[in-house]
Amino acid sequence: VRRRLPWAVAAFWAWALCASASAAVSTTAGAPADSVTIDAPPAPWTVRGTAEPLTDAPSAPRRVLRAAGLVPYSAVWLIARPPVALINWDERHGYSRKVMSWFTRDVEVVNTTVAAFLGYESGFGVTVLGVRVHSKDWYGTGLENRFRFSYLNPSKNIVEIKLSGSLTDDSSFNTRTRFRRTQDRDFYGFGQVDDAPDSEFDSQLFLNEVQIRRRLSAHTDAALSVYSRATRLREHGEESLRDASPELWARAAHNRYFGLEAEARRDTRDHGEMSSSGVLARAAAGWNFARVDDDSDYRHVTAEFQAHHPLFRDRILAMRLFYEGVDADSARRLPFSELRALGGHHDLRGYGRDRFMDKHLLAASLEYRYPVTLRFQGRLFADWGTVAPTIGDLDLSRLAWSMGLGLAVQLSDDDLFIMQVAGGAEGAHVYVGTSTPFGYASRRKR
Amino acid sequence: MNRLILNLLTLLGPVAAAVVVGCAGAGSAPPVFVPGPVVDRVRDDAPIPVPPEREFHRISYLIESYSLHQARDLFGQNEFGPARDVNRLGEVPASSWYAGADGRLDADLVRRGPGGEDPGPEAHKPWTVTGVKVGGRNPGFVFRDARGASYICKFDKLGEPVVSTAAGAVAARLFWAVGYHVPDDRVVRFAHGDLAIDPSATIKNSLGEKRPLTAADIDEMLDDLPVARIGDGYRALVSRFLDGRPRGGFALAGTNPDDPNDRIAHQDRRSLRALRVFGAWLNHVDAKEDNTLDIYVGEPDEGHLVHYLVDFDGCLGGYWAARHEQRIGYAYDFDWREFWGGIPELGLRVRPYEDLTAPEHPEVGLFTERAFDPAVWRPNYSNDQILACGPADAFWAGTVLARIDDAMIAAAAEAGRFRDPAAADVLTRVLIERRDLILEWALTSVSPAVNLVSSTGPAAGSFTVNARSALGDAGLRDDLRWRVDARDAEGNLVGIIVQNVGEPAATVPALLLQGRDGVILRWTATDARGDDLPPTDAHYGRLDGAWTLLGITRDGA
Repeated sequence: VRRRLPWAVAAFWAWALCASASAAVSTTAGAPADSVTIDAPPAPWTVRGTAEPLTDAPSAPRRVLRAAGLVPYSAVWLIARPPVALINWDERHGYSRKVMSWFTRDVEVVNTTVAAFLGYESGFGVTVLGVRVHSKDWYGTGLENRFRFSYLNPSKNIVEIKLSGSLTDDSSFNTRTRFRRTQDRDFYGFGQVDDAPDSEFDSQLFLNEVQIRRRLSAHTDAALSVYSRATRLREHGEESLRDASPELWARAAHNRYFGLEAEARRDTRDHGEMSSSGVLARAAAGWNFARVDDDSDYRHVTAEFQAHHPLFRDRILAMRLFYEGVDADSARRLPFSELRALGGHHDLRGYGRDRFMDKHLLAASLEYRYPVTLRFQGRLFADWGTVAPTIGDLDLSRLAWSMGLGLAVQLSDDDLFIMQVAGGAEGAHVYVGTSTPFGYASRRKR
Repeated sequence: MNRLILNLLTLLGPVAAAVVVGCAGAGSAPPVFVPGPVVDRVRDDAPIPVPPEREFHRISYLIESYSLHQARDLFGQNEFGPARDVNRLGEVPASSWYAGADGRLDADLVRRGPGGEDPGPEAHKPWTVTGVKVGGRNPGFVFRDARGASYICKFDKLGEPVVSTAAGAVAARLFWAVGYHVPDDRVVRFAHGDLAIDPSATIKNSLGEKRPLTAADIDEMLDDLPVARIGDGYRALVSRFLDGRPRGGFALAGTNPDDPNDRIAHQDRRSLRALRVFGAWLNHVDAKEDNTLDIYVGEPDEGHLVHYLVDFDGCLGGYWAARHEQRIGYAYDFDWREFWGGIPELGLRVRPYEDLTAPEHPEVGLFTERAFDPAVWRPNYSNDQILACGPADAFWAGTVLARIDDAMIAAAAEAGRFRDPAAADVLTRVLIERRDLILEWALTSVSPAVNLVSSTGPAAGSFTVNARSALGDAGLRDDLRWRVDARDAEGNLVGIIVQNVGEPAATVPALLLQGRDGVILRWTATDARGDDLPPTDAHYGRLDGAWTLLGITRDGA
């Protein structure tokens, strides 16, 4: 091979020179070479006029940079390449389009907007698989499949059917039937306790609700809701709630309510969760009638105020004050599942879910929101909160607090997906989901 | 401890190995230029069978652009060599990819654009609607004018009259002027009564089902276009169908296996890499595969493909009209660098584009020279052609752009047919200022020595190169200092000709040339900050006793 190599190199050079010569028409010494038209050359460097192709010789720093980036790039490639290939394969063959087309039927509904949703949600509130039906005059046509990426949380699952529509130009209705199963929830005891969780429990909720909402002015509306709710608590593990508090367990194991709530709301925010300005003020009051034991009837009150203030160039300062309270005929017999809870990704984000429970809670949040890149927003936040058995016992000097950083991505005008890391006196928590303390609908007690 | 060291080695081993491997290998020797002519046209039009139509797969294309392309750039994994569609002077010969700017650089020609003397469809009414526009976010229709020429008709974005229709016509003329194959795009006005419906015309609903097109469909479409109304008529952008068989867009990387004439990977074409420069000038942020089009010209088995750029209504302020995002032209649609840098910055750093607020003129949209930095311009999606654009590619594009004078730009702006004549003035000024900013960047991406032809020197056996600075040629401020040195075929320094001078002209003494058949002259410019620009090497050979320019490389490419 060694002996033949020089001949091969020589042959290659001869070929390249011949190829160049075949293209050459004439060359004038001392002046730029004449311009010519040539047929598509056998090798591009014939056009270039070199005997062999030019090669790139990257600088040493570039080579080092390249070598150092090989491993992380390989990791990205391994993650991204398969889905890209899969999606490309699907696009080439049109399988998804065919399936969509097969499922799609034209639904003619005139002068009303009807939306029904049947879906499955993970614990993060993200729809994994759903079907949305909507009328032609609302958006698009026919049946729309909803497939969304999600992380499946085994400890919380929701199946929900929603129906919504317009009654008149100024009024609308919403109905929903919701089944929620929650596992491994911690129970810490009542009040502003510092102990570790007393025990764990599982719960099941079955909710039916009908709400009618009427617009009173451009930014003000009122709503009336009726609902029925059944909650079943199940003991979990050896340190069960049954052993920790038998009387409470007996009251809480299975309760069913029928309720009525009135709400007034003024909302001048410009883009809901992603607002840059505006306020939300709302107040709600309701009556909850126990279907098993009249002694467990109670009333509840909610008040909330949010303000979004633009600082400069899309930097926003947002604040929120929130109060909830319950008033029972017999405080002793109020099921603990009906108490107000503080902690988790809805409020006081540096603590576990429902870390503090009592009849009254007060919470506040302050967020600085800043643009990261298109559709992504960073959020630096601090939360405060406390609970107490009576409103007079709410002690602002004993507020629990936490602070953290979040990254929100805007999925649509109304939807966002957020990752948050928050730390408080009891450690740090990470939240991934679609709801935040500023999400109006996310904290409704149902 | 041992385990820790072992784990560290396991983790860092591949990185260290990669660094060692990456550092290995020395720089290559200078290329050897073979005497020959300067090729200014490559006939890549050999007859081929009609290739199958290429589909654009939007979702996977975008995901790949967002993920793999940017990651490859971010982690330094791009490996783009010198351009391969260039002649010995580093210029791009005319081909099916690039027509060349020669013969187009005249204000009157630019005003008329690729349509030439054709008065367009406004002179040939009525128009027969043959279908409605499929694809894209905006309504439109396809029609045939009275003489039988077919056009696609598009309208402005809701809320932003004039902006994108004007952008489409203006940018098409300027891309044509710098040498690309583009269709005849123009702004037109028509009345409802100018439209008739072809009996065989169909419309697709959102499910892709076809049905006959009716007058009611046209009425409904036009009723939904308040932005297009002008008095009793409508304003639209029309693009003439290209003669031949559309074969879909061309890939932004690799070659087309169905086209035997396509022998150079597209990312290795300087003509396509230069879209990084021209795209920055015209803010062609929507540069992606489906905004290119291959046309099979000729009868089956006797024709060949010609490669077009199409759909320019997202240029200038056009994309902003649709999306109203300040980042357009400054960051990718999803930009990893902004993302990872933006989180820890906590919003404390204000990006230059954040200060851009209202457009200078509503009919121009947010298209401005303010905060414009050509070095960091970004289209919406990264692609190999844009990423592959190196200093030599940018320089060549700069030399082409430098030939576009103010009168040509003003003539192109007229094609926007703005309602307010002041809008054309604003657009002309912005284009001129952006052009100058780009020239300052592109022409200094390498040492900008031009006119490197040799002539007989003052002494026997010597030769002179009356080189000039491309900056000066372009009428820009030129405070470069020059050094010219001579090198042998291996690139070794054999003598310094001139040093720290304001002009790049040089005479190579006979003494230095004695006994040599070739010499490389290296021009190195030093800018006002004292930084050396990448060198320009000119290769000279002694042919028939006279020293002749054989070839040029810039920054080795």
